[in-house]
Amino acid sequence: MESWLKAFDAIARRRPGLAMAALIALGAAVAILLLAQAQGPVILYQEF
Amino acid sequence: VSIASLEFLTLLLAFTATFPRLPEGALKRGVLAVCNVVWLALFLPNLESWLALAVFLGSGYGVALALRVRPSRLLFAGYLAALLTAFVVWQRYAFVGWIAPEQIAASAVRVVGLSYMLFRQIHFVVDSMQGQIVQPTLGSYLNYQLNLFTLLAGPIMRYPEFVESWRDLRPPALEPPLVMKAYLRILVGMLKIAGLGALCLLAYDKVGERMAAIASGSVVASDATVLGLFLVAFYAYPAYVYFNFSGYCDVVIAGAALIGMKIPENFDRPYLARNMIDYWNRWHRTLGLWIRDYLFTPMYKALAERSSRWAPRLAFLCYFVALFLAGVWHGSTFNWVIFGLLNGAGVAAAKAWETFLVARRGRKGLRAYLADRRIRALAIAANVHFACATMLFIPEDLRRTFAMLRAVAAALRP
Repeated sequence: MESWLKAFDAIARRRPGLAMAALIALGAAVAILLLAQAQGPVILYQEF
Repeated sequence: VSIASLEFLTLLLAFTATFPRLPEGALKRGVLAVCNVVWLALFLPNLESWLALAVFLGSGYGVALALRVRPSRLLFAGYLAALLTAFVVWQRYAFVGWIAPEQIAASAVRVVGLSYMLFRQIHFVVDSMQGQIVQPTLGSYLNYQLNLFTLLAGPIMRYPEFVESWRDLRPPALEPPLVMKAYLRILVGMLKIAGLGALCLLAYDKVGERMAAIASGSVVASDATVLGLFLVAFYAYPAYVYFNFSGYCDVVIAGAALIGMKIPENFDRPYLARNMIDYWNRWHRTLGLWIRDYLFTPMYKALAERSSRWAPRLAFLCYFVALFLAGVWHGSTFNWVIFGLLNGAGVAAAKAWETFLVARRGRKGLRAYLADRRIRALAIAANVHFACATMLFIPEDLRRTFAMLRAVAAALRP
């Protein structure tokens, strides 16, 4: 497992509220990022 | 349909939130099977493609069953030849146009994810013939091939792994931290594709355009500027490929985990590999393992059995051929031939170096060499630059790559 996932796992177990807040904030950021792109990027390996 | 879109993200979140609440068993499998077909239908453009796909998959299942009952090298070789022929025609490999009639070369068949289906099909047929796949069913086989999480770009799952999840489709735990972790991985994957990857591609495109203008003489720049621009392109493109593909894998692996399906990991910090053999165990891991099991090992075994005296030297050849073929599989254009040659040469050189070290220092010396931290750091630095160099040949438009290389060569000339 990647180290950032391990770190998040530890936070989610000790401070679930904080982890949920971080998740919601990240979700909002990703939604804005996707909305800002007129056309989503292609998955490079999908072309093969 | 783009994976990195708000529509896809919304669909995935809704699907992963509702699917685990369905009753276990046939209903769950039925709903997932319908979702697989609907997802596939978004990508198949015409009836010819549906028919071609039916023949491709149906023949694989039929031949696998026949070979399980009565193994036959002749049937296997004939089927493999037919399968590969269909694959190169439907994937429109450039050489098909030179040798086949126009109607064949201009086939209307377009099957998304066909390359990945080919890998899964060969695995299914070979393992069935060897008796390692017991009692497959047509339903589970079709859902294995058309699994919506791995349809577009892998990872290349093995049939027994799929069947294990397919039977239950039970999320391993609905424990909140695990669920939150899976959603985090989906969002980070999206961020990698649409944020970091897109930025790296933008940087590469901008720099590439500028360097092409410099190479053509329409823009003048100092040697230092040219080298600086080249370094940006040199690192930005591999970073883009990594963020794009590993981000996609994060999304599908975490999405599948939320519905109770375990998809194998595909990346293990590939740019920290110390040589190209190590790299292919870390980058697109499921492809690397497939190459080992279905290309390298059978090829090496067959050659070594015929000529045991030459076996050590044949290993270099087998490494080269296996990775060259893997490179060519990536796409139907000439750039992939160069990509394959470089990767083949890289793994063969890694094997040759290891053999040289064993001959000179013995097994104990090799272990000491591998444990040395300074040597490891140097090896990683050298390998990451070689891997980046191979990726200069991933973009189909080789004119830009060669223009960049020309500009750098001119800047380095005394």
